[in-house]
Amino acid sequence: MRALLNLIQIEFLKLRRKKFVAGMLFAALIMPVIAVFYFGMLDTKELDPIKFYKWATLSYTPWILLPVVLGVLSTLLMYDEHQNDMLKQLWVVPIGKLAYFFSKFFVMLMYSNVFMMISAIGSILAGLLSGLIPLTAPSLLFLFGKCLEISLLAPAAMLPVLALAAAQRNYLLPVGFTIIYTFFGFILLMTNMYLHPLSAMTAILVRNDPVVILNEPINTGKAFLVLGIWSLISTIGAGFALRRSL
Amino acid sequence: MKMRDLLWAERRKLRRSNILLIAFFAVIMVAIIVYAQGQFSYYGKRYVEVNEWYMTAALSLGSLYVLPAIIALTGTYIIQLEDQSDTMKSLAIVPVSLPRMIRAKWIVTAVITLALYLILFLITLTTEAILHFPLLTPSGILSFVKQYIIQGLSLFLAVSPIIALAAKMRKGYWLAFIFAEGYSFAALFVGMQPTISAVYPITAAFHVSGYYKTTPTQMLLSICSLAICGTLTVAIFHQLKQES
Amino acid sequence: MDNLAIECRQLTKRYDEQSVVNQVNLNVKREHIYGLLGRNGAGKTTIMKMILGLTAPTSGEVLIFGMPLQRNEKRLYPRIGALIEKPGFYPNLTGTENLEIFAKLRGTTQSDAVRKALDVVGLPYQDRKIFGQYSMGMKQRLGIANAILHDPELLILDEPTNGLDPIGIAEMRAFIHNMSAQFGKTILISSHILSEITLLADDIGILHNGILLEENTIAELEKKNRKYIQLEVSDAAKAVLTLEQDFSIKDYSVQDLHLLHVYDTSLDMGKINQALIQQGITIISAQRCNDTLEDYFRKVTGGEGIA
Ligand SMILES: Nc1ncnc2c1ncn2[C@@H]1O[C@H](COP(=O)(O)OP(=O)(O)OP(=O)(O)O)[C@@H](O)[C@H]1O
Ligand SMILES: [Mg+2]
Repeated sequence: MRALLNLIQIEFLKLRRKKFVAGMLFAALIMPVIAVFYFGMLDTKELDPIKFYKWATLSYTPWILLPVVLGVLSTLLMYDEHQNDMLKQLWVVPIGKLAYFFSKFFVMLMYSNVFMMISAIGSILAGLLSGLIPLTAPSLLFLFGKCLEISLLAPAAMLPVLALAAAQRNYLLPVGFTIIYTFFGFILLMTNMYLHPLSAMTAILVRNDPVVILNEPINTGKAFLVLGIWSLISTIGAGFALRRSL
Repeated sequence: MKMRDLLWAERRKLRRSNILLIAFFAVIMVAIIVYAQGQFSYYGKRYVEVNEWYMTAALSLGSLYVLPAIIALTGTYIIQLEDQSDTMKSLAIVPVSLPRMIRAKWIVTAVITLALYLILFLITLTTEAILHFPLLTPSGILSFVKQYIIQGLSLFLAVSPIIALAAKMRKGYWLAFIFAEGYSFAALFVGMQPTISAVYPITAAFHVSGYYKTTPTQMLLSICSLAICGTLTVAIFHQLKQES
Repeated sequence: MDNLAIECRQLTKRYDEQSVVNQVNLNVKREHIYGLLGRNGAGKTTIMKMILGLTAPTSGEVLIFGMPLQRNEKRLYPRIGALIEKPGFYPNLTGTENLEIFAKLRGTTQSDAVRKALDVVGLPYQDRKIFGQYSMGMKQRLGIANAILHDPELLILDEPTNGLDPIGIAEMRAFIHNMSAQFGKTILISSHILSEITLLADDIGILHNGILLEENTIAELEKKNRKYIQLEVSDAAKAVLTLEQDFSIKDYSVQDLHLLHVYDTSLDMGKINQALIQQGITIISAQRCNDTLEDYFRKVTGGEGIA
């Protein structure tokens, strides 16, 4: 456990001076800004804050922006060490392959947390400053609750990309895969939510949302099962890949 | 040095590299994913059953969510080969002119983009033919070919400035792809306002290709917008000369 | 002036405020092998990069075959072959494919240039192995092959034996020697290994902390590589007097108050001993010594030595 904590700490040290990692957080503000224009154009009276938040933080951000950003982050986390041939030095320390993988995953967790918090605060500020919504306690509770759920589920849903990045020296495949993977998850929202981790994540998020009308009620257990299976496959795959990486 | 030799060299440098394979794979996946979406039924009729739905949807969804990023990824990958392999110092004393070499890379990227769109076209056309062969007409096919080709080249122009900027900054090339993704993602919302949608390069590509219903003014705006993208790219490439 | 292949005038390079190369006047004569000797970080690579126009000097200039490189690139580069630091190649291509790219870009007309160059460095022409899988020495060899691919008059080789095995080093030495002796190429070679340079070079430049401390022919330097008798005495000045008067020795040097070097080693130590004692000079020690180039370099670099 101590070793794992150390590893995680080291992972954060490695991110020093990587401006891009911090820079990607700006993507969290894209939807809040667009939401202001969108609702401003619609000119709706008495906009429900929850409706605003759903648009500004809880829809496109977890469906597309956060997954792409996390995919790039996981590639970044693996790329330098692959590129500089450092893995062989790490294995002789020795560092456990799975501990290594989990320390990267933990960074993704922390990162997605920060990302969603920025998005939430950005939405609140954007809504208030533009005068579109009032500040209400239930809506805030809803917003932060959902953000927390997203920030925990999204990294798990992106584990396949992290595993792919662990297996590849080059950035091309994990990055190209990130786009396809995210797009697939997004499209499947409409047809089948129980195939793809990202759409399964959305299923969990909208489980008791009265506005979302689906042909059949959402089966949260099934969604978690899908997420779990893919996470397990990814972790095992990454373990094999890292063992082969010498 | 002849441009032909530079182009030959660029093609040779891509041997065994899997960028082409990945781009190809992305196109196949677009076709598959859009087909999956076509299974969604609306008033009892699946999308794919609607004539020409598949060819149109693959072009638009692919061009909005996937292909701009793939074009940026391909372009920056081709441009960063020398930095990655540390060959620029050897090329410089050949001497190879950097701006000319970059221009060759840009052309190669355009050709790849075109190839990707043609592949997508062939896949969707075949599928469409299987689904509703009797409804296919030569003129319909021809107009789709035109649409795919123009969409591909326009989108290439729209993404080019991002590739050029990455070449100028000379590091973290591949991260340009995330800008391209954000840039095309924003098009989802920019499209809502007619004038902005004609000017914004990604949506302009849709105007030029004829995907959007377009007024002559909008068409003109879109063509100008894309021309500016191309000019900007060439200007940035030209600037590389002074720096090198 | 005409017989210089490379002429550097007051060449200086600063990164931020730090002088990495400082007012270097380096001259490489045509058809000579010039060895640039210096420790890690001395500035060898930086000088070579400036000569090749790969990095701009802060001040000073470089003439190659009497011309500045700027505006003469098209004329000069084809006459130069270079290997700078670790050679870079496309990792996804084989050695042959890599060289074919360079041959094409150089407009090489000779169809078997690639095969010949690979032959010279001992790499196979038909090989499936891609550059990414090459060993260090193979990479280095491919770098050399690329440098000689277009049969240039001037070779600039930055630590060409880097990563080669002992046999490879000997082969490389023979190759460089041959290039000069048989084909009359001018070669600028850098190294931090003294013995390597002394075996090969006609001229030698010693670079230390960016300053060219010495530039000379090997022959000239080797004169300094002499045998002598080192005398440690109570009073060196008085001892010198005795030596000059009684033995008419002129070839000596006073190292400090107590230390003398006498370069005539045919002297009878017994007689000298006697004479000195008679003069009331105490002899603390006397020994025959062999001053090597290495000692010499240690001296010019202020005690740090070369390799
Ligand atoms: N781009 C750079 N920015 C800052 N300092 C640099 C740069 N390139 C080289 N230096 C510094 O210049 C000095 C000389 O470097 P150079 O590579 O010329 O040494 P060298 O003699 O070739 O050493 P070696 O034997 O290790 O190859 C070093 O102190 C190095 O740190
Ligand atoms: Mg060096």
